[in-house]
Amino acid sequence: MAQPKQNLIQGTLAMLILRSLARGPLHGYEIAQRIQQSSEDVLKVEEGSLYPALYRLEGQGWVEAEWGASENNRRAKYYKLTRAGRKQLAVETSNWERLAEAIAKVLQTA
Amino acid sequence: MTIIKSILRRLGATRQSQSAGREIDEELRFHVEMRARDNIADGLSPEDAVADAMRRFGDFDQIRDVCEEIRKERLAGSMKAIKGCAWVILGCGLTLKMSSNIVSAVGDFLILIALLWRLLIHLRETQPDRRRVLAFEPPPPSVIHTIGDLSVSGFTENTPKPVPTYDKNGRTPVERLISDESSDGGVK
Repeated sequence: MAQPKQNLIQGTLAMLILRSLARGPLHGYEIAQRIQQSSEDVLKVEEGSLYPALYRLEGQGWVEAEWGASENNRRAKYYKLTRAGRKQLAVETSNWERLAEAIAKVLQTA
Repeated sequence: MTIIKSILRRLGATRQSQSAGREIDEELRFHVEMRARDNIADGLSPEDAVADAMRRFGDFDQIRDVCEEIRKERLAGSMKAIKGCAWVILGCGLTLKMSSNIVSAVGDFLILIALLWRLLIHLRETQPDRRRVLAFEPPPPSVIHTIGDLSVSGFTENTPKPVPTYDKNGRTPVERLISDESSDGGVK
């Protein structure tokens, strides 16, 4: 059964991008696809909004970019996590888990 | 080490500033083209594939402007930090020069470095960007929706149009893509 597509909660896009890059460098299109596929099509990134988020992450030093050749031999900009980015991902994941746990508790008791 | 890395990154940001505008366009166009390519592989016609890719992407011009703005803010921050470093070196040089004769030569050297640093920053800020003349204009959505050849979309009347990459059979890249798809049984 088709599931309704949901918009990403604001502020979580950065965390999802960092998580997508944890396994290795990806270009923007691959990041969008990775997020969508990993969530089994539940989360759908507004593709254009990905790039301002990537530029902000690069400005914060959490990702770094490098031009390379894509799988179809086109020039593509690949992003990879920096050491600071890995630390930030750990912090954001921990925060998210605490938040999700707290919300779950409220839902169970309310 | 982190401070050194940070300075190197900032220096890198200023070095890349001139070509970054073009690279934003290239990066965004790559995304749209990849989506269009996948759409074609899923069975859409080239026109529908490009239209869908553009729709999914959103307002191309606006997104490019936002990216450009973020990049400029980062660059301004980098320049500020680099200027700050020049003043710190100058301060150290003057302090050493005044403190004793032994380290006076080191002070002179640092003052010279700081002045050269400032001069380079000044030259960089005042030098016209020669590459801007060759700047690649962003693709207006109307052009993208109507043009059939993805590899030349994005060129406008202000920039010289390249010779489309027709092959010996007179096919455009999109036509080649469709042809390859039918012969290979799908685009990977």
